[in-house]
Amino acid sequence: MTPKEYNETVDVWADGVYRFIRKSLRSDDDAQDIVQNAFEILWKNHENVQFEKAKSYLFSTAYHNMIDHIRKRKRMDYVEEIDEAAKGGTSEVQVDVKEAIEKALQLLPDVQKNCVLLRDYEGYSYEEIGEMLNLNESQVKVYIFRARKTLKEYLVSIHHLI
Amino acid sequence: MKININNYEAWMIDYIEGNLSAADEKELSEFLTFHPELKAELDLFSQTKLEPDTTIIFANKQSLKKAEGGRVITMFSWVKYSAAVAAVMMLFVGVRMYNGSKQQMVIQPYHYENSSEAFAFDRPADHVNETAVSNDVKMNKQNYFAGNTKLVKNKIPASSNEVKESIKREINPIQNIEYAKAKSIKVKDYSNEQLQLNPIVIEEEVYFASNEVKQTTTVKNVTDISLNDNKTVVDWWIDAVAIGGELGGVVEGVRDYDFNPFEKKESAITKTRNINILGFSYYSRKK
Repeated sequence: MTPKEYNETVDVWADGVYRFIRKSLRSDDDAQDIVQNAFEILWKNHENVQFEKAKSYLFSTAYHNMIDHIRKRKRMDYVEEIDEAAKGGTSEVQVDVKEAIEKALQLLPDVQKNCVLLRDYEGYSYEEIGEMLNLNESQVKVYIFRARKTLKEYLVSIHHLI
Repeated sequence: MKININNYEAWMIDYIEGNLSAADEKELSEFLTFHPELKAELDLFSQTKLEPDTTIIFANKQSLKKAEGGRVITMFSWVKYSAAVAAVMMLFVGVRMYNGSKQQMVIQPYHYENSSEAFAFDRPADHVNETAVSNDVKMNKQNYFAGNTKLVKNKIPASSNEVKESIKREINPIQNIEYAKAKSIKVKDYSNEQLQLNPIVIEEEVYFASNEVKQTTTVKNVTDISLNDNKTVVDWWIDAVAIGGELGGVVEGVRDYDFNPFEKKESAITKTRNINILGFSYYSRKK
């Protein structure tokens, strides 16, 4: 990949990868750092990364950065935050389905959430997601299946409230 | 497996995931005509499809971008005199050590016994027509000055631990200074903790600081050095100068592939200026 192609990668994928990390992590500053770091790593290796592979390299690197970050921080506050969000979701009536889904998304185990985010946001195939998250294809499929089921149950509970 | 009341959810998910064949989709649709009460569930499943929030964007993309061509940072565009360079560098070296940077470098000053000779290089009369001077003559001059300049180290006590842990080397910065062939320091690969030295051949347009005579030469045996990312340009220069000295030459330019805080030069021909680093002979580097 040439420096020019690298810069093109920035233009095309920076938003997408940032969106993915931010939704997954729910922290703006941390997400920015992680994305920045991922691009730094991509740049360091840009001579060895093919342009066609740049996107998956980037997402995969950002994902692993995020995992490291979470491990380092042992984000207890993060978990509490999610619980709060979840409680809020069930006690208040959610009219906006989109908002409800966003909240429900944070209820999912990280791996399921990441699978769904990559699938829906970026349209990755199971195989590609598997490569990024170090899972096999059928695991990815199962995680997405479970995630959708949970999300749907959540929507059902909200509809009952309404 | 045929669709039934126990497995229809998997079918629905497969449907919204786009995994069903045309025949399967038909089967699902037929199943739903028998179980219209489940249609609402399919709706709910399709609502679990997330849509990217396009209002979330990475604001400062420019900060991620890199220069698309190699360029040279010219130091003398902002610092013209070696004494000033020495002072600035000492300052920054001090700051560096104070900050406890992981890559420590100790630079100690020295003085010349015959300082007038050491500074003889700066006499413009010697270099009226730089291009006419053959390389052999230049080399002889260098050797003459190098041989006739004695160095006396000032006894500045460095932190004993640092010195012990460091590899000390002594060099004579006068050597090769005025006529040194360009040593270009390139920042290429940060991932490797070690220096990489690759001889390259490059055409350089050299400006001599002393008299502004321009000369285009094909410089051979330029040493291309990859440095670790030291974050700031000053850091690069400190390393570059140290390495240039270690190689018996002088750092004339930093070829920078990442960003250029100074002027941009898109041309393949790079312009460099000599740097005289009088006042430094002695440094040690912690590997």
